[in-house]
Amino acid sequence: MSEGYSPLLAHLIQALQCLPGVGAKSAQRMAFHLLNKDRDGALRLALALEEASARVGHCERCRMLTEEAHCIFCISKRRDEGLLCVVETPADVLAIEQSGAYSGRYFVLMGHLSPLDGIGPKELGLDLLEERFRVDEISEVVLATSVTVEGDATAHILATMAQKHGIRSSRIAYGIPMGGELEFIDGGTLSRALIGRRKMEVDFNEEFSNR
Amino acid sequence: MTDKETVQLEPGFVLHQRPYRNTSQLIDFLTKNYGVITLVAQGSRRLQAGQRAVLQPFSSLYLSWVRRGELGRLTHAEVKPPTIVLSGEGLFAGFYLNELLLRLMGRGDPNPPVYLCYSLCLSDLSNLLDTSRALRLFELRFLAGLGYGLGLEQDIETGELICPGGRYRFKPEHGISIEKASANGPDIFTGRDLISLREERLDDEESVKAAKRLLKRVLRVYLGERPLSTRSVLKDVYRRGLEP
Repeated sequence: MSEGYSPLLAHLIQALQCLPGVGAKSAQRMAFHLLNKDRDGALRLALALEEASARVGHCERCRMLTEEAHCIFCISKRRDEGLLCVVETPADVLAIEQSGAYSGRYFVLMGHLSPLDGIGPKELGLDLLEERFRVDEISEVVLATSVTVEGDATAHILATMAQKHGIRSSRIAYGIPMGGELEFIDGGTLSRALIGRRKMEVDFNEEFSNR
Repeated sequence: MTDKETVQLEPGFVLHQRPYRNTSQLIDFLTKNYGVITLVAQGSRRLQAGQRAVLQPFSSLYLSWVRRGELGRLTHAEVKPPTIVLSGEGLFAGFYLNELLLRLMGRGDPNPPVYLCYSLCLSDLSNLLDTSRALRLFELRFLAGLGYGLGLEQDIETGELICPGGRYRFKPEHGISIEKASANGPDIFTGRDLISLREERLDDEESVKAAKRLLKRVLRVYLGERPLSTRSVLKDVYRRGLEP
């Protein structure tokens, strides 16, 4: 496929294909754009990549990506110390942050349990998490692993660990998404939604009553 | 040269999934009439794909696919009732079953008895029956389904039937031979436990334990040097407070 390209160009196109969603065609378009129209951008990109890949590591407390010893979520004084949310990826942390419904600390597993691939508690950094269960004063662990069989297995281990340390754990709710119509929801999700149904609090307002 | 194969609504289970290209997955299935097969599920990693919820390990499915050569493309998957929900310990046992199947079953060898004993074991696990017993029964039937008999019928040296009171030495791939009543060791079993295993009873703790010890030795022979990764992961899991 590298016919007609000079060696450096071929090398660049090849390298760009390590990005998710980028195949030969898009890699070629990116390379031509960077070289033809935006040399400054290309240099900035190269510098940023070099710097980030050399210096960004994991937060010592929560395994979030950061170039400091501790990430901003762990440093912040304004977060709820008693809440710890366990997620699978750094992207999950940002998704939860954007929801605005959570203000505690995080712990990032960088994956989920996958026994068939040899990914177990050790690979997920559960030793570090156990340490936090022991040392920090955590009152509740929020298990926000993905809603798959592997995610459930991961949550199960985490809940067991939390229990051992006398910490309450909760699993994020799953079921019908906002704006979802029952008719179009698959059976598995619907049955989970029914199993996990919750009591509805009804609070009648004086204003609408007849008296 | 290879013909196009089109299969409609074949009963099967998801054994293992791994990401493939950007939004697809390669999924290993155990099917009733086509054995273990690998199919590409295109776009199944996209969030909206309803398929994703269906294509989870341990759920019983109807599968349709098109295949030319080794790797096929999944065209349809729907849930085959009753739904099986594993949780906790059953989940981990399920991973073990799946790895065992992937390691020991040849690709594309139809084996309906193995399919049957797998679905039986999953339903035992989801009904929260004794995990250890369910796993031993599966291992026993699975080995039989693959054609690996244990040779628990008679003494290989004397040709006599097993007597419940005797003590026997078990050698994988050979069978059993009588020993002195004082014999002891990792490959010595009582006649009672051997009969209980052979007849798929395993109704007391003693015999389940003996069966585990025996089947582990047999499986080691067929699995070879490379240990099961589920086993080492589960050891780590249990070390962290989960009951084995």
